[in-house]
Amino acid sequence: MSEEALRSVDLRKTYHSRGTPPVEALRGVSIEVRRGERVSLLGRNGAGKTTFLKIASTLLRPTSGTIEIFGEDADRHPERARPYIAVVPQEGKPFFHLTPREQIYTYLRARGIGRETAKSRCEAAIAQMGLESVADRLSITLSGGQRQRTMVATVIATEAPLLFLDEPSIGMDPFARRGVWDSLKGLTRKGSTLLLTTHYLDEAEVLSDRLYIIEGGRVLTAGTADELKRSLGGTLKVTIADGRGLEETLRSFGECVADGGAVTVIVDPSRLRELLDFAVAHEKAATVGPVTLEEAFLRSVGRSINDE
Amino acid sequence: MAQPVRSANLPTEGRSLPAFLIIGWRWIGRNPAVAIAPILLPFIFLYFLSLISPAELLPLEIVGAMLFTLQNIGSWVLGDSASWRIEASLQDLFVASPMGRLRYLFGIAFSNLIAMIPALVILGTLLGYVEWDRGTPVPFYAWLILLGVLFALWVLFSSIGIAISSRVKTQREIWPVGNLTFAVLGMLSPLYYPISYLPPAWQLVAHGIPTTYAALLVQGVLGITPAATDTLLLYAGLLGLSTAIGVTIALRLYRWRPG
Amino acid sequence: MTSDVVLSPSRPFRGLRWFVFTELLVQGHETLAMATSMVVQGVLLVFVWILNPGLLPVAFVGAIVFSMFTMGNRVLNEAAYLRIDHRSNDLYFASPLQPEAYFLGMALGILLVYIWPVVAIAAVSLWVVAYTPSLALLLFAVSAGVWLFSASVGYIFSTFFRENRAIWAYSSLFFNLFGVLFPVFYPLTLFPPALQPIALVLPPSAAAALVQSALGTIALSTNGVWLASGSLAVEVMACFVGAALWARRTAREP
Repeated sequence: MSEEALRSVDLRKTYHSRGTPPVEALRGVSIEVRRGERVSLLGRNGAGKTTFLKIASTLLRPTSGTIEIFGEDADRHPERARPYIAVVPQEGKPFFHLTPREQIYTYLRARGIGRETAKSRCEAAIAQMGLESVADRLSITLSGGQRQRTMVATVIATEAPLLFLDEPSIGMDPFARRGVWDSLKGLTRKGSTLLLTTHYLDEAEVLSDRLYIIEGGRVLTAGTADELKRSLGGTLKVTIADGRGLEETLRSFGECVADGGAVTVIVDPSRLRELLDFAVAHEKAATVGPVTLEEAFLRSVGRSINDE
Repeated sequence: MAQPVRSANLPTEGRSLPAFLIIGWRWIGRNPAVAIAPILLPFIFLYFLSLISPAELLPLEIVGAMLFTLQNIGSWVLGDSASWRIEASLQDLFVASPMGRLRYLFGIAFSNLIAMIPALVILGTLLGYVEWDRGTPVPFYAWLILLGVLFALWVLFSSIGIAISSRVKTQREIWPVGNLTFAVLGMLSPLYYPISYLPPAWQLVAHGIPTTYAALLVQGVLGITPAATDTLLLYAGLLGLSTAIGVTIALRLYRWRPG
Repeated sequence: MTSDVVLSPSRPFRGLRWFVFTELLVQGHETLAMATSMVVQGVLLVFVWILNPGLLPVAFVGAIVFSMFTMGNRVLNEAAYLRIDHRSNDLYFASPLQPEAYFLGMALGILLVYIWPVVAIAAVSLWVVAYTPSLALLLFAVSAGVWLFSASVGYIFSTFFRENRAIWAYSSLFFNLFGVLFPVFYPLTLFPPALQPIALVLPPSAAAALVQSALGTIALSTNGVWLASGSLAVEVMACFVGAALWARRTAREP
């Protein structure tokens, strides 16, 4: 038996609006998410992440392609998929005239969950999201971050097997973000599956078992954060100040990126000493650090933009 | 192919009433004017009309105010449905759930009905008193028919509000669109006066509006504007048909999941 | 470091012209709202026409006064919408534009756009109202006063709302209560005598009573004329000054 919670094959979406040319938001996206996985979609603004998430969460119909949620055709039979999913929409806000406690409780009741279960899950979600002190305040009076935590709590409380989160930690402070990350990790330990979009590369790295980098409606690359970083040819980056004129030799160590006068070289740890000796021999200052997801993302998306 | 996760705590059908009862109740509880406005507005118009019209039209005008209240619900439903979708993306939360479109829309209509109930009760009491005072107490069957008509109008105008809300793109459009639609419908149909007061061409136009059948049916049943049983049955049938058409159109037009 | 920017001393209503222009551009797109701004007045005029056509002259001048009164509703909605949904007020308040210019600019911009349907009603009223120059002048003056009053009140009210959804209930109650229940569309004499002094103190019904008196529909005593005109003048000035000061005060959260 396959373990896929979500599978899309050649998913396409074209937006048509009067007076403007059609926009191809998705151009054949194929994604698989296994049960219990946390998967992130990374991409620039307008890359197609939210469109994919909307189609996957049955909010939008695709132009073509297939999308399955736990084996159910989410395009043709969305009603079969919906009991198994919940979504934190982008820029979603709770009912302003309800408190976070009421918001979570009413949503659970609307999903058909019984009174007692709804109450206990509501309290648990409030505690998980650190909303105890504002649980009985009207949502209209909450800060942007608190409202977002209320939305995440609302969805977490459903205990749906597949959760979609569009920019889940947007507007949150660093402490709140870490709290949300811990909660989301806890959910997958209990068996839930997460698909999220984010602009925060640190969030994607911490939260994701696997990542898909999307650009121009296509999947550019996929894999674990480590795989994406290794694809650069090394796990360390060495930045050589005023490295102009040395690029040719530096390229023999690994991929080079010039940034003003500085040159950054992605290098395998086994060649680090050799590279540093080279810098010292040329009396150049060099700094060493680990390759981050940002380099992988920038290279991947940058190449795609250059190709176009 | 993967099998869906089955669990007792994973209902496959949503429920509207428990959630929207709280949503509606909290709304009026925390915004007193929301409860007061639907009560006072019909009375404001009623008072104005009682000053400028013959006294014998009072029962008709009270019934008109009841129908007007239910007609106005369309405007409130339009506002909620559009602002929850546009301002807060709350509709998305419900789409991606087992709730379903019909339950969600019913929930919005129901939560708004809660705010209208006090006005209807007060107007109903006033109607009963005025008719009793005139020596023509409202018979039981007339109350039942009045309730049925009010129910039909609630369904019909909530549907119209829902259908229109789907096409509204910004918050700014909500008020003018609602104002135009529901005020014009109220103006064209003879809610506050006998249809015979209208010029013949207008009468013809008014017969194309469902509220007219509702008004004529209730006025006939109460004996305010006497009509033959066959005619009343015809009005009831047309009102039922209009309601069914309204619901069908609303469900077709409402964008639950854009294509 | 030197700067070429010369900051002129802050003077009241600085930036008014530009904000009127901005608001004109914004409201110019609101054709639907413009078209529907006369719906309630239209409905009430139809009621009068059907039920008591003899009152049409009073109802028409009442419709003009009421239209100016409901412009405050536009100001209320616009100011609240810009603040709650767009936070545009912050954008303008953190600029050389004076807060009172923001308020008045918005009110004037709305007036310049929504005045045209009122002009249309006034044109139609020529068929039923026997205007004399003095009556027309009086109608113009009291309508201007009612506009300034309601725009000021609308702006002040707008600062208290935190959610757009709640505005409609409160505003429809306010504007229908003082514009429909009180004698604006019908003669003051039909209103209970004990409550008539209250009607003469409230700007829309005071304005309507003055016009009805000039029209010859009602006979307003000298005291009544003084009460209506005095109240109108005092309330208009007080609310305008209050709104300007309130705009300054609410520009920065305490």
